[in-house]
Amino acid sequence: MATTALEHAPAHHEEATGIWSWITTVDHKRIGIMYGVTAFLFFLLGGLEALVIRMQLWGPDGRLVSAEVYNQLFTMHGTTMIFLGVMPLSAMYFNYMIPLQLGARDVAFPRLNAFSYWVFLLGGLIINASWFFGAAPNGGWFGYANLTSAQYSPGLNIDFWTVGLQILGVASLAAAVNFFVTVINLRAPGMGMMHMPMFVWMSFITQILLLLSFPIITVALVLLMIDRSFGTHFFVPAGGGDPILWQHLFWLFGHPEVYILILPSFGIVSEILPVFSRKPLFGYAAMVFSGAFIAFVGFGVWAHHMFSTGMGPFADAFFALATMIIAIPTGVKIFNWIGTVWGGKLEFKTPMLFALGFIAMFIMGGLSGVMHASPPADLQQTDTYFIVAHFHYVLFGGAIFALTGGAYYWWPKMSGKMLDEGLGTLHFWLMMIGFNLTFFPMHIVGLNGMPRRVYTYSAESNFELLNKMETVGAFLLGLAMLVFMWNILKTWRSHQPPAPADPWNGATLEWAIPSPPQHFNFPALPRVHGRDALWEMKRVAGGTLPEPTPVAHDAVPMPNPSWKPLVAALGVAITLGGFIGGSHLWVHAVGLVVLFYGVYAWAFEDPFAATGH
Amino acid sequence: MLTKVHTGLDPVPGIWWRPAHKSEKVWVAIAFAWCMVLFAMMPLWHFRGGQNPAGVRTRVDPRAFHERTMEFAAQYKVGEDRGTPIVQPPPGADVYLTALTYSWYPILQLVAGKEYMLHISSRDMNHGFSLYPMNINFQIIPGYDYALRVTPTEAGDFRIVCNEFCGIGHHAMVGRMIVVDSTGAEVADNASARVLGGASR
Repeated sequence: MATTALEHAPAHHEEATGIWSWITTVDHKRIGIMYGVTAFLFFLLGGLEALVIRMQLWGPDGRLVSAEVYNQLFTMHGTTMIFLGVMPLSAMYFNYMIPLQLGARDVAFPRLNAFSYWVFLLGGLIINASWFFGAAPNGGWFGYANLTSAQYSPGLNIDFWTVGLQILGVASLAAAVNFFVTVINLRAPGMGMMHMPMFVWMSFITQILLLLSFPIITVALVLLMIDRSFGTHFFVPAGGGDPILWQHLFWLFGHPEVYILILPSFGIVSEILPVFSRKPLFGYAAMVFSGAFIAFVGFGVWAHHMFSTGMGPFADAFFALATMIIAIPTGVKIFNWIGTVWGGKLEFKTPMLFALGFIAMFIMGGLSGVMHASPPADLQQTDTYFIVAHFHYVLFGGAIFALTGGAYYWWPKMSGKMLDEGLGTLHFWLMMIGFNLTFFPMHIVGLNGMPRRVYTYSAESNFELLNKMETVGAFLLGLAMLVFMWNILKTWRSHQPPAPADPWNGATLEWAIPSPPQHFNFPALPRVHGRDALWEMKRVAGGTLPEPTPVAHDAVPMPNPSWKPLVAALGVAITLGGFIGGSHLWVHAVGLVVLFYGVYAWAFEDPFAATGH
Repeated sequence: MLTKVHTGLDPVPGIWWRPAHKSEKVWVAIAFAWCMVLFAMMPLWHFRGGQNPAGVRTRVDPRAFHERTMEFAAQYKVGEDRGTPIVQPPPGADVYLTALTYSWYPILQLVAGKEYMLHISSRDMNHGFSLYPMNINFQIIPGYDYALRVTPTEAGDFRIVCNEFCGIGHHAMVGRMIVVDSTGAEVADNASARVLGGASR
């Protein structure tokens, strides 16, 4: 076997460390970690914005921040959490786990992967740089026309938003192409599509959604940008344009986007539940097809965000029914998760707590979603805090619970350290209580008529008590985050023995290799014969496998580090950045030169050339 | 066992799977029947319950609509509240309401129990019409006339709240709609009128 020959090969040098090795890395694991760290910092920033919002709404006639700053805060909270928090946190797991679960050595295009990360980082930095100009985006996260027009939003605020989102869109599209090809082409020998771990399946469907929906938002943003920069009238009624066009384009992207946010989390939960129930995932094929069905129908429901525009009974009925139909595959998933847990030998480790919490919270969010699928109900609920409650139940109670569960589950694999179970349990319960205290009262206050995106409310409205509860809950959530960070810090500095390769008795291939894995992941590519590949290997081996030993770090040739993707990413950011505050030709020109140089150098670089040391 | 390759579509055998029990089938049938009931309620309630406001949305020039509103306000003006005319159109008339950043024009005074054709549009920006505390929402989009057949059922002094985020003055964009009872008597400012912060502005 190849591995035995490699094991006694002497190590010339250790894997490169230091800042330059991270900047030039094309290793999917390092890029995954960079995605995770960056996204977590943005997530904390979005959380701080949320805390300021909650303090402003603590009592009636709040004056903590000005109305203008408040508008910037909620716009940036939404934009940050969606595009810079949940999406890149999912991307962290795509990067780190898809190749490992497939038994591959890297993604299909490692340098394109680095490019995606750098473009994402620059997009996030540009959109947040707006704070230093006192001009953070202030049009709401879905930026309805014609508030965003040059006439009604003359400042830099909306420019930062359109430019930032376009740059982020480039990152998402490049990453989607990469993971799509990775899943199609780089599965381990013997691994059929219907043998893939469920996380890979849900991620794969997410990539398809990204590929089909991001071009739509890009078109919408380009139209808005040339409206603002060159005086066209796509969304300007005074010039014969139509603000409703923006709503159609935005939600045609925006609804698939919510499945982009939640499907990876479905996948994570589908990984955690079987492992901690000691049973294969119930209804594997049904899980795959229900995920695909959600994605497909997800493109036919966008106008349920627009019932209040008065589309007429026919369109209302169509979109209401399409929306309600999505409840069926989602219900299939929920019952399959319950079926997985049913009769299992449950272990209530932290990842399992978060996965179970996810199921309960996501059901609540899903149920309120079915409520406003009905147009008469929606006309009472739309633009109130009821909607805010709904999407936080699916995006926080759903996605964030699952992503946090995934963090506890995969932390040993990614860092080589075990997180503390006691602190993890404390984190879970603080988050569960804080979450419900924050968002459950929003249902009630919304049905009582409190509009969303409203700067303050009057004392006579009787919204005060519920708002105070929400603010207390939000600070509990902040406390839960502090416990999580303390957990990371404490276990990072402790001298505990390194995490074993397979601490949870996992079912999938990432647990077959050392924690953290070596650069090339698998010294020899594993052969797979069915689902739950590692469980099958352990069963054949009589129950357990020996702890894998690391081999020489250069046992398998891997592509060289490269700084060209970073140059190309800078080119993209500069070119589009020239649209902030009108169109600056010389900035576009500089950006295009940098971009062309980056792509040219990248295209003619031999990734396996001898490096000289 | 290594020779057996799962096609992926075969169920994996094991103790966690058994054929559906009779009671499970009964529950599936009940759930399906209930789905059908809920499904039938949708069209039934549309036609019998009159719950879906089947408003008609037509294209209109924002400037022309605003001019029509001013003409209408001048024609039926009965009073004034801080510069905004109070307008009482005859029952059955076409009633016009324009959203202007950040106010509503004019103040409508309608009679309970009488039917009106309400036309709402925006002069400038995308706004939202929400009648507080009735909690019903429509988007008011420049270039579109949202026409609704309405019959006020309850006398009172109501607030129109902008419900689609429209920028810095969004939270203060509050209008007024008065419904008098059929005797024509004006109703004093009731509790619901003072609920929102912008009411006094």
